[in-house]
Amino acid sequence: MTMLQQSPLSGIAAATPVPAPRALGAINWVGFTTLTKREIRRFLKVWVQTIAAPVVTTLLFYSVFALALGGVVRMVGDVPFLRFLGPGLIMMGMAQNAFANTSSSVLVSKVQGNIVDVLMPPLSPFEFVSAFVTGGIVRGLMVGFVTWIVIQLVVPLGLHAPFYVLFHAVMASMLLSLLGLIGGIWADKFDHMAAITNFVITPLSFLSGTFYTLDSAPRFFHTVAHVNPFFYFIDGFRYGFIGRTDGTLGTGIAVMLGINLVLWLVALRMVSTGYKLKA
Amino acid sequence: MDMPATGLGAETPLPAGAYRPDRRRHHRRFNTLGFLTLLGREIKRLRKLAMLFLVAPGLSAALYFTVFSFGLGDKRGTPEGDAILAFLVPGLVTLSLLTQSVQIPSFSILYAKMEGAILDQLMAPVGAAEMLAAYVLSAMAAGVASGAAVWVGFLIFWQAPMADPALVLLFVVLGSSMMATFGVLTGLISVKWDHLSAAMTFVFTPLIFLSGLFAPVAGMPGMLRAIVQANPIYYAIDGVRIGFLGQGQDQAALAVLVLVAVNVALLAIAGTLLHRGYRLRN
Repeated sequence: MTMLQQSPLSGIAAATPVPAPRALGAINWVGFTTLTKREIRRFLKVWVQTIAAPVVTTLLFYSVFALALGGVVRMVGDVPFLRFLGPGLIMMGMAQNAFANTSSSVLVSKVQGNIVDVLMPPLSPFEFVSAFVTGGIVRGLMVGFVTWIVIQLVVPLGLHAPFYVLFHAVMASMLLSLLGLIGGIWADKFDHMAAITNFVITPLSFLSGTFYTLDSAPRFFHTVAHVNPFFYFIDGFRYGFIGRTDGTLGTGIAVMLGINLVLWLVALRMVSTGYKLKA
Repeated sequence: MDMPATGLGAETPLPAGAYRPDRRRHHRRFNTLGFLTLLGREIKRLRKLAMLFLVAPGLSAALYFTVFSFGLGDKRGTPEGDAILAFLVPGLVTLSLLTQSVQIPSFSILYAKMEGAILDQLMAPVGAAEMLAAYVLSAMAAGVASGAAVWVGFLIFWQAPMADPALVLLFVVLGSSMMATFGVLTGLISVKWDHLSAAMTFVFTPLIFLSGLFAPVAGMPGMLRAIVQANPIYYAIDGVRIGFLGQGQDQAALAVLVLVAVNVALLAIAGTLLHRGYRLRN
């Protein structure tokens, strides 16, 4: 009787140590690298759609626009048109794919319900956002690199300032990854995402001076270009290849850093409050 | 109480069109009611997708147009620049027409297959002819609506008079039915979404873009010109352009011939596959 009256739990408690909370340090590196790896494997598994398809589309644009807009002889300033067009198209491909990577990842997870898999683990908002953005940047850079290699085989683009190329590539991919993340969190349906792509991302990337210099566009479109972040990163990226710029590089860098900072804060705020993520 | 052995006999009056298990329903070789029902369903589907196939292509055509007119730089405003834009407008209208014609039926068929809803029409007394006609006609309607939206948009800031509306209509019909049948075939062959997007990216987009859409074939290097002229889409785009600009009618006959031949061949293949239930009935 005495044996039974003694709580069976106390016996167990004495035998096993009290579970202590896991100490994670300032940054949960394991969590961050795991989510980053998932984000990268996610698109690499379907590389035909995520890497090869955008490269083919970009090359198609390149050949069609090169043929239609004056062929081999046309010059933009003192640069052949083909060299002018190349960097802009590479940047367009990178930007669109960085955006597609984060937005589709978040939206698919939300629609299918497996977003809980990344909300439950001990990931801080910063780790969460960084991992998604890293996935987007890696995809953007891979698409850009492969496109560059292929174009380089046909039309040598030159390399004036490699640092500017890399800096603008990373900054632009980051900006679009953050936009994609924010868009993916905001959207409820695939229709919403398609609307953002059709009505925001595509017009911004077309009206950015990829296909023309600002000298040849009417006054109104100068203004449009200067409030369009795409203009700055295409212009700076192109400067890295051909050493010629439409705007001022310093302004562009300041604009990109500023927009990136704001988008980081918005994304962090969305994740920490659980906006449209935690119902 | 004796029930008639044959179930619901002639004694029980039933409303017209009611299900009579004891009677075999007869319809003619072409089940018009089935065809109209299927067509109606496809058109209803289109109404919900109007945003996708009217607004988005219109916007992208406007973007292409802007980019081209600025990209021409110092050529813009000169007769040469005008000629390039006049060349471009029919091309952009046709781009929208052809892209939507191929996308709409392939998506519809694959979606029905993935969701299992394809059973609804496989069980119904509609055969290959009815199904093919319904899919192709609804896709043509979507393509024509989308092309027309783009053209009306252009009329606002670029007057592109149609020199020969009948010729334009003929090539619009031939081109969109060809692409719609391609779309039906793509939907039948695809098993996953990946297949559909691969077909779009690696087959149809290159075919549509490398068809003299944006640049005259005459200005292309020999090898590329041969490739473009082997592309059936080239003849549809060229035909629409002849109708718009009213130049080069002598080529129209060849274009009609090529398109009719391709259409007949594709319809025959698609009809056979539908009849056999290729990747529909497993």
